[in-house]
Amino acid sequence: MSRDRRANTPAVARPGATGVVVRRAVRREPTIANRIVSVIDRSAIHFVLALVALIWLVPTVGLLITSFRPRSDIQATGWWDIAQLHLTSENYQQVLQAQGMFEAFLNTVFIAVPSTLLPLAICSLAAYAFSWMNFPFRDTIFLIIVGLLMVPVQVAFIPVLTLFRELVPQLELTRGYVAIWLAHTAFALPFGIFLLRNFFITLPGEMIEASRIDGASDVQIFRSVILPVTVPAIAAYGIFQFLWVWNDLLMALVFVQDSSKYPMTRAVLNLLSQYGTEWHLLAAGAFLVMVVPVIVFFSLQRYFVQGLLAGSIK
Amino acid sequence: MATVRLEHIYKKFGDVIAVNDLSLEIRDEEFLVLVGPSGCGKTTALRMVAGLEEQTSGDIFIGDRLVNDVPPKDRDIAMVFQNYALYPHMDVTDNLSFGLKLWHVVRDEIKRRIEDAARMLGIDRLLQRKPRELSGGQRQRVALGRAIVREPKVFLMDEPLSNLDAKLRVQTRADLLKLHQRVKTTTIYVTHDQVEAMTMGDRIAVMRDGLLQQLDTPEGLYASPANLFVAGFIGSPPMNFFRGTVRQVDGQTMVDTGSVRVPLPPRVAGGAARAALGREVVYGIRPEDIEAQNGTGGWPVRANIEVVEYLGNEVQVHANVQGVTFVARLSPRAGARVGEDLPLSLHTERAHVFDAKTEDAISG
Repeated sequence: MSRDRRANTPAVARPGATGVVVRRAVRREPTIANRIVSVIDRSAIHFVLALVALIWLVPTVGLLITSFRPRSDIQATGWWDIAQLHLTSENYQQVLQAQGMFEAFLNTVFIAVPSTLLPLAICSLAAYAFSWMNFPFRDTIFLIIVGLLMVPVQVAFIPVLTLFRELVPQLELTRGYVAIWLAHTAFALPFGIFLLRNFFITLPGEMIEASRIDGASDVQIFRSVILPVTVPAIAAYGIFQFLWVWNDLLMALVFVQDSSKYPMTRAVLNLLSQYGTEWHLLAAGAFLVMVVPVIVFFSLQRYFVQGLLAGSIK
Repeated sequence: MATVRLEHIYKKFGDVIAVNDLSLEIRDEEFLVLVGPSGCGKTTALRMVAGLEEQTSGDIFIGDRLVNDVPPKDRDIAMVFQNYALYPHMDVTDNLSFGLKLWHVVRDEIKRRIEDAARMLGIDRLLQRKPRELSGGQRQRVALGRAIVREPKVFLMDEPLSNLDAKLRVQTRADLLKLHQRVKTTTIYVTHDQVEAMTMGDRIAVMRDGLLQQLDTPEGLYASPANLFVAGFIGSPPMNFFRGTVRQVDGQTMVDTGSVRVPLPPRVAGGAARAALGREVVYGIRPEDIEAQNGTGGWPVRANIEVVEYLGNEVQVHANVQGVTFVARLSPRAGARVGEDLPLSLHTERAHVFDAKTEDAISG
């Protein structure tokens, strides 16, 4: 028996197996039981991962299918009723044209891009100062900023809004995008400064000292030495902030008061309140909101994962 | 080319005094080594010369200029760091030219200096590579190159060889010396390695606990250490020490350990010897000043051999003379065998005597 098994082992291990498995098989000759256990071990993990992914995906897939189904179908059956599947792009046309979703899309872009670039610029400069410049109370100020992470944004809405409307009423900040740019920027600063500072501080101090001896000013050090080596961290934070702003509804409700400047999230909300049961429009609108974040995430996920890791454990 | 002068430099970190009243003058074109165990303040001293650290009090002059309030970039210095501190995102050319561009050196001049330095350091074929594509030795050369192209008044080097493996370190040591003979730039070199210090320094400043112990040439440090610490720090294997009392025995002034008596060296003679009478001292003799007896003089002792370390060109034996143990460097032909007795002679004329309390050398 045992001779049989030995003869079988390489043949079993070879097809489709990785080099590691082949080598292990040759070296240690696992029994059939061993192999079954290891397969189950690994498939247990895969099974759980697949399950999580499935649970996560079901509503999204449902939304996607719903958004392409005609109104009558949606009201008759659920999206899982594949037998009754008729696809149409009419919902999208209607949402984009009649419901002003395209304008809302542009509004969201106008809100999200400056609301990402402004915090990026301010946070990276501040993070440089907090990690590599000497000034009085540096660490105390940094601690206070970290402490601000604990303050929920909702707490600050009323005071900030009052500030915008009553302290500088002539600027009419809330009529345009300025109010929401400033609000998003302000609320992003504590986390951004915290994240980037903790990454910058891991850079070798000698590198910065060397550039200082080489004759670089702080601005030159920041631009020529720090920025190029911290692109992953900055990109990760940028993506994070962009997604946050893109998906934001609450801040938009408070700080954008001109209805022609409403972002997509608010436009979807309007769909809901105007047509409480118009699921076909709602699904299409919601999916349009999601498209950009999904594209951003998949095209930049390398930075996203790398940067978050780099910031925390490097 | 410039002198560097430190006058009564103190550096305190909170309650800790890292550098304590350091006064030092580095001569023009000199290669001065700051050496000492870790935490002795040598790197802090170097960083203060660089301007990366501000002294608590005292004055630093580079050339004739007081540089206390001059930022690093305006001190006309270049520094080589222990971990090289290259710019990881720039290739070698950009690493070398970064500083020059900031000083608006004209392009032809930058090109000339980089080519010169690269040829001198043997890195001319690596100019397009990024630091991560270089070996440790190559990175080290780029770091040196970055200092050279600046053509500064002073080089500051902070343990530049300590990240290299032993063989490369010996070679780079020689290369650095050749380089210094060529460019003749005043250099301050920090190391914890006494061999590096001895082989490279025109003069060596030995530091300990923030205090300068002795400033001398390698020969001077070796031949007449100022105190017990320097005596033990310089030389490998280190000097043998044993405690004893100075006594008059049969008309001769001897150091008596209780079981062994050895004569005072001639440098402790006359008044100094008389003053030392009855005092507790530490007697020091280097392993190389102990020989197998061959009739050419020296103070004879009979030693029991406890350990023999064979090194090829020599053996280092741990010998025991009536309870006093010491290390001797002998010829492999001396016939030292573990457990056996061997007649040795101590060249006591080259021995050193230190006050047991103050640890300072006693000499007449």
